[in-house]
Amino acid sequence: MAIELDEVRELILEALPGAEVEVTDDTGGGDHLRAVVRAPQFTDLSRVEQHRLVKDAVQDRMDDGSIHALSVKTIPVDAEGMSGGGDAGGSEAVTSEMDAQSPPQQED
Amino acid sequence: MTDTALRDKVEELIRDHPVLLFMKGVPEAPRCGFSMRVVGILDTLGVEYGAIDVLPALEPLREATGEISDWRTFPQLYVNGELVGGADIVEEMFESGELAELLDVEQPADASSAADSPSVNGTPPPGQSPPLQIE
Repeated sequence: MAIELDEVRELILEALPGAEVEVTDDTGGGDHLRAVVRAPQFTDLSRVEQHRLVKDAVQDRMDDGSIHALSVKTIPVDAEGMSGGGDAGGSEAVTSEMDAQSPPQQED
Repeated sequence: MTDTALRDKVEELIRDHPVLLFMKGVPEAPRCGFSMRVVGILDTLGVEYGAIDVLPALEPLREATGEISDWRTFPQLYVNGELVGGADIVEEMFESGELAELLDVEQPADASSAADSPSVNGTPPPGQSPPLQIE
């Protein structure tokens, strides 16, 4: 069962509004995908945290087997056009906005 | 083994091994391209590491690492009890030299081709620990 690349792209965009997302099919089989994601939300996050944001966005489609493997590259970008001084406070605001949109999945 | 027992065991393994790799297959015979890439990198850096084949208990281990580290895909590399990441992150950090720094080893001169190192098919480098088993 394969998945449309556009659907993967949409799922990631939904979780990371304003991101630039590129999804490609590595093997041509439709289930080994590669995503390059440039997002302001990544700023000040560790790589693991950045990847979690992307993987959480597509987790359901990993669980149901639509995606067998997703290779992820995350690139923090400046939040162009966003107001604020660009300090740590600004980043926190972005993070909490995302949390509000998608309920945390790691709580027991 | 109950879920809690498995989770405790995984936490113990992570705590007890300075460098620990959860992978599909064993270092001598990885059974997934992503696992093979990480093995190649660790062998290139010449670090001693513990390796756990997740295939015999894939779903329970997914659950366990999901609870412990909020990370459900393999491979997973842990250094000093902390999740470093999967193959993509390990590769990125290897290429930038961050991984060598984290592991306190010297960055090889030609890091760019090391991930394709064929050493995984040969004899394991000296110092590599035997594979660990989760019963």
